Amino acid sequence: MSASNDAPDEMTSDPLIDDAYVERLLRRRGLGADGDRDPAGSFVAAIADLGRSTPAPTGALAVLLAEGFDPALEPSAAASLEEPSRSALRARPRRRAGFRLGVRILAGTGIAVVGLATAASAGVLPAPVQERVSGVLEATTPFTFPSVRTSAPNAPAVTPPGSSPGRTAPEDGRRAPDPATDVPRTTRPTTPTVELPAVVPAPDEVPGPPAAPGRSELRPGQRGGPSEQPPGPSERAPGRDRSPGARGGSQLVPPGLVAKR
Amino acid sequence: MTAAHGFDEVLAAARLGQAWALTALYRSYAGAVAGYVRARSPAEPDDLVSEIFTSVFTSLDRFSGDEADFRGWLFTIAQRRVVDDLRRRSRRVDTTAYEPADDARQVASAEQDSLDRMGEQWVRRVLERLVPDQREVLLLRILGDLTVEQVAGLVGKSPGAVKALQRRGLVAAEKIVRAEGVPL
Repeated sequence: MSASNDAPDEMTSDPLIDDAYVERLLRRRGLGADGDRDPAGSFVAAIADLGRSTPAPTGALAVLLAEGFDPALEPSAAASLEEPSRSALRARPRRRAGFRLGVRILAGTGIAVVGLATAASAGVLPAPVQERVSGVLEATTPFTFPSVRTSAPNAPAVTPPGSSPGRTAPEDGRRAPDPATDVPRTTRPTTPTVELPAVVPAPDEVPGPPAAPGRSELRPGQRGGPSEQPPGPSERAPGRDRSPGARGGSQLVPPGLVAKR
Repeated sequence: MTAAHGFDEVLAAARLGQAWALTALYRSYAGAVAGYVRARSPAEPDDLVSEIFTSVFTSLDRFSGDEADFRGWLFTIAQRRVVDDLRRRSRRVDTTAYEPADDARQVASAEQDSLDRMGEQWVRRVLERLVPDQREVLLLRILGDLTVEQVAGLVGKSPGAVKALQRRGLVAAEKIVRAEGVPL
């Protein structure tokens, strides 16, 4: 025992109280009526009075005292009767937080996968990523996704008003269309080779407001038209359908998904 | 223990889950445990006493010993529960809903009730002015009726240290009572 446990104003010993007297006082035996009259005796008696009344049992204890319990079922009965331990109570919020975190991770992963698949089906991913994602998705789903080789013909290109369809530059860092593979060309020896859009739809395929009556959508000097093809060597883009009307892909094949056969 | 059964018989029946034996144990010891709880943790003492006895009754198979050992075991559990309860309460703000039954102005026996509470409050006031170790030793010795050795084991001190604590606690209490007087 350290001295710090003692009250500062307290005497270290009291000759009036020896161990035998203390023992009798605390056990409240052999003191007689005078024992309760001295201050220490009154204090001990008052403490003992605190334990005179028996409280009414509450909750699970009331049930136990009324019905008892089956010792064969004691472990489970005890578990149901005992209040949950403090460690168990502390662990509950941790388990809930872990569950919530797991749900968030799953939801985030799902959103990322769907987003990646959507981007891959639109063919807007960078070439190396597009190749890999298309490969993975084609291997795991019944759909065909555009790859670097096939994405350009299927991706519809919107030609801004006033710009030449033959001179549309790729936007937003997308893969630059490969004139050798992406777009079929007619032989026009006098026309220099220019960069072509991913898809050059026919004028009647280009979405937009209907032309005013008697007014051509084509400007003077602008190439394109129902009978014109973009300049370039006459090649069929790899993977493109030969069937009539399949040219331009955007109007026949929905951009992206094609069911595997 | 009871008129017809000794402690060992009652304990054996309580281990088998017999309601009469559980009730006999509760009647024998609940008052002392309740007094200890009231002196240490006055908020909702009855609920805490019920929790203590539920815990004791559902783990009787782990106890072995005689009646004195049972008292020691019972108060060990009670002391731990009280300490847990005090820690739990210290971490949160206590808010007590108004209960008309607890309002002394509306209870028929308000006078007697307030007298009882005065005595209880006086004891608690004196106890609060003692050093915590002295208070714990005196409560376990008086209400638990435990021996010096049992208390020493429970509070983790030597029997000599427990004797010194109880003596100094009584001397300090005597001074306080002399200074303040005894109620009624």
